[in-house]
Amino acid sequence: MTDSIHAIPRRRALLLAAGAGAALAAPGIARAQTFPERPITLLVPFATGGYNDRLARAMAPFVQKHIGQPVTVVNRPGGGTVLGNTFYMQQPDDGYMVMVHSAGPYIPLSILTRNARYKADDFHMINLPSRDLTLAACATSKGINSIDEVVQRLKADPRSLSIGVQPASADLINMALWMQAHGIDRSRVRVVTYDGGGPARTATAGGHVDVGFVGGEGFLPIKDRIKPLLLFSDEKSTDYPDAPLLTDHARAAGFQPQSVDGSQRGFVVLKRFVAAQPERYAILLRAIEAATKDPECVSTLGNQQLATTWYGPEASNRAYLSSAALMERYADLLKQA
Amino acid sequence: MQTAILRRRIAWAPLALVTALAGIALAYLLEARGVSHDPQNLLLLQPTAWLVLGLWVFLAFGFLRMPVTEGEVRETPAEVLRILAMVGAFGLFILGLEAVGYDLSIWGFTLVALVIGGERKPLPLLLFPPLFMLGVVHGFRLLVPYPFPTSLL
Amino acid sequence: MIDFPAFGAALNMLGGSLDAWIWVVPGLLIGLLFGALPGISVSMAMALVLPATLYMDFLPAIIFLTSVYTGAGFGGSIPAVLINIPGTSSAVATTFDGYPMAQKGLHNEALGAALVSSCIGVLISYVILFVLVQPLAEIVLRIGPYEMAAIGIWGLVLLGSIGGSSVTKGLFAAGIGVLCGTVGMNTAGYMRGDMGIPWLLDGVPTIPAMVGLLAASQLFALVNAKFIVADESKRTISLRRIIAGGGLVLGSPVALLRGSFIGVFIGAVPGVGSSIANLISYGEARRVSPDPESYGKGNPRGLIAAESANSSSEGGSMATMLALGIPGGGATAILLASFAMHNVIGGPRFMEQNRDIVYAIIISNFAQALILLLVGTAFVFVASTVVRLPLRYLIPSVLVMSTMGAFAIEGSIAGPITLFVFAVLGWLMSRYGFPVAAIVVGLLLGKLIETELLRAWQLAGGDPLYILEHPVAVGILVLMAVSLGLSLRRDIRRRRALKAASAVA
Repeated sequence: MTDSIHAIPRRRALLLAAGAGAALAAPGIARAQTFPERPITLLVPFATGGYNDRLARAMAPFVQKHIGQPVTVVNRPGGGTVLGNTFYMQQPDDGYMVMVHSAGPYIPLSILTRNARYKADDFHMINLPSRDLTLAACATSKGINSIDEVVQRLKADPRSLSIGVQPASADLINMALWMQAHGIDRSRVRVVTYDGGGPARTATAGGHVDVGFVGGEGFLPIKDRIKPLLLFSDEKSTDYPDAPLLTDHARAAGFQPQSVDGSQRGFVVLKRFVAAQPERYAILLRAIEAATKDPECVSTLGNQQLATTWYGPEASNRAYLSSAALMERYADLLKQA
Repeated sequence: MQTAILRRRIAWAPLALVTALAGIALAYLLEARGVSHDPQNLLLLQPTAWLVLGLWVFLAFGFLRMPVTEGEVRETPAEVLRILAMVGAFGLFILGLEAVGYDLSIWGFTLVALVIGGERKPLPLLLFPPLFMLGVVHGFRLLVPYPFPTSLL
Repeated sequence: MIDFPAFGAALNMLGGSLDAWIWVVPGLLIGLLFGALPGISVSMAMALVLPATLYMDFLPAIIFLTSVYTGAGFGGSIPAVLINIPGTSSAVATTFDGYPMAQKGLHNEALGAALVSSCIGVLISYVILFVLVQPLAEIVLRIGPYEMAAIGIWGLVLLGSIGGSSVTKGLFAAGIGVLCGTVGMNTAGYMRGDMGIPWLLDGVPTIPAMVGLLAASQLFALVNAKFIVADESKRTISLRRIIAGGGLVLGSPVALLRGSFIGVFIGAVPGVGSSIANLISYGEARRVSPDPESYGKGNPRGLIAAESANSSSEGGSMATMLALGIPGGGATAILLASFAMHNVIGGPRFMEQNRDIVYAIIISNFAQALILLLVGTAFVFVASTVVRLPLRYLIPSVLVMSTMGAFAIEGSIAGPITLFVFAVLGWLMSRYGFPVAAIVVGLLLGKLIETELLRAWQLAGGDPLYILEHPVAVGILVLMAVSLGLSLRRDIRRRRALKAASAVA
């Protein structure tokens, strides 16, 4: 601990001399760094077994290979990631802990619905390889053929179909915006709430509800039992090539398509750390980028259905912040399920 | 089964317990009603809280005129004190986990609890708490994916 | 519905591969050990061994993981019987009669009975899975909010006033439990009772609260005692008596079969199944018993009913996982992850194309149930030395282990704090004659009933008559009313007969 405290000014001086750009690019300076000199921790704000936990555990050996220090995974679940995020905010800005997080929508949602004290802007995305989109789907046994049929029936009688969705979720925002665009009175629709994507999917596949609005990825193992009705996206998905897209649906119905990503998952640090320790951040960034692009990593993670796309900090932060802003704008839609 | 009722008295301790619990239930009901009157909020909560409050009336009335029966087996004051000491030590242990670290807290609590339990031999008092602490801390470090603060280990 | 060529291929696959077998015993032992530690859940145990399976072939990997699953399913019952700690929420009803048996010095018999009912429960559930995997999965998938709410209410009615000195006290305790179960954010997103504490929004942590109520409170009350089993001559550990306990199970085939069927169907429901099955099976055994008073005081049938139900839910949840690809809980989610690690995607297509592998998994689980009988006996034999430990050592050790377990399950200090609060509450309430078990039942079922009732209400759009579209739920409720009416009439008759008898005397 003491070591890193008096080490900072020396590195700052070095950095000033070299210039920030040079420090990022010059490997010579990186070699002079002692960071990291002890194991790196990947913090997952969810319990074991979920997507982020599996992603962190699968990535750990590859990050380790490229950063030269052991990488371990710890979980700190609870409070819709508030506990993990708050814990992370309390850690020193030394770069020894990196989060693997469904940053969008969990960070903005925890602020909007759980009164968390941090801001969406406090976090900095290194890379968000995994994106999950809201999918409106019904059980094949329901005999609903298209999203237009759903719109028609709900417009005629809002009580005619029941809708399954998670409260306080990106899916709910998408559902609400979609209903608003069609002039369907949401307060009269029979909306059934599920506290988790799993239960919401089971209810959809089991036909407990007529239509479910929930992240599409989790539906993959039971693809045969559901009919995808509408994908909240502007580009075709490889998972559901036949699912109609929101952009096309909106154009046909004559409204502006608006949607937020269901999940944006990947590596997250604090903005505070990036500002205070740019050279350490650069080392982390390089190692994570190299690990993500490592062919062995790509094939290993691919086998586990984990994403390894490299978007980089710029694109990832843009995607994260724009979806956070959209959520903030429609925060009142979240208040009432 | 017939026991002679000698006289009736107020059973203060259980009366205080049910009253406190009913008070918490009432406060909870009021807080929940403050959040929203929507049935989606109060569907199960409100009827249950009313049930608890209704039962409190019955129970409190019973405790006010508790029959004192003969042959009631009660602990001696010394025994009650020992239980309270254990409860207190356990509470301090929980408070100490984050404050002084899981290791020290486990060591201290094990030692105090052994003394409360009646262990007086110096050797076990000296050896068991630290060895047990070492086993627990290392064991759980291996098993559990969550970090916990320690001061010695 | 059995595909015989595939069955033959499965036997060949298992017969020809030593790899498929060597992992069974280590898997069972790891499961037993982790399951027996309070707070280390089945899914955590499986998550920890998951990386090791990456380097195995597909079949050995799945067999290893299901061995851990089977072992941990029973492991949780060991502390439930010996020290009143339900290692998982599926072992709550196991404590009701298991621990009183241990206190009476019948720990050998209790553990033997629990082991044999678990093994037979697993066996029966896999037999049902073997014959009916697809229909079973379809039935489970159809159990929606109406049916679950009806089942939950039934459980609460059966067990609401369990074990207390008076009905009023029982109901009061159950009411407090239900209220605790509603704290936090409910399924519709309303937040109440969280007192500004972030972790309370997820609700009162169930397992720490249960361990506090059932075990820690009991340990406080034992501070002035020397041993769990008061009579020194009864503190023996005897293989003969463990086996005799197993024999008790064969003498109660009805309780065993009823428990197993409840476990397969209710236990298989994704999410909450096995803990509810455990409670319902116990409650049913008590309700139909000619002697309900003896339950909660060490009646082995209560133990058998509880244990067969929680073990047989394994087969049920495997059915939903294999046939539908839906993970019912943490354990099956990890199995699916392991499938994925070997490039296998669970679900209907896997079932159709790889019937031989599915059969091999099922047959291996038959074998696991039988091997568990041996491994479990040895494990139980060692574990029951707990009754020989003096309480002055046992109390601090178990309190510390429970605290660490509470931490392990929550991942934060929330667990230990909950444990302490509910330990004090449980100690006070049991001291003044309130049934602590009723609070636990209320806590477990309250959460379930609120969630499911709320969804039912949302589905109906507030229209109570909508329930008529769900005949199964109506059926359960009618059955419940009739059976309650019958047992009430029986009670009244018995009381009248007693009164008449005493009047004559």
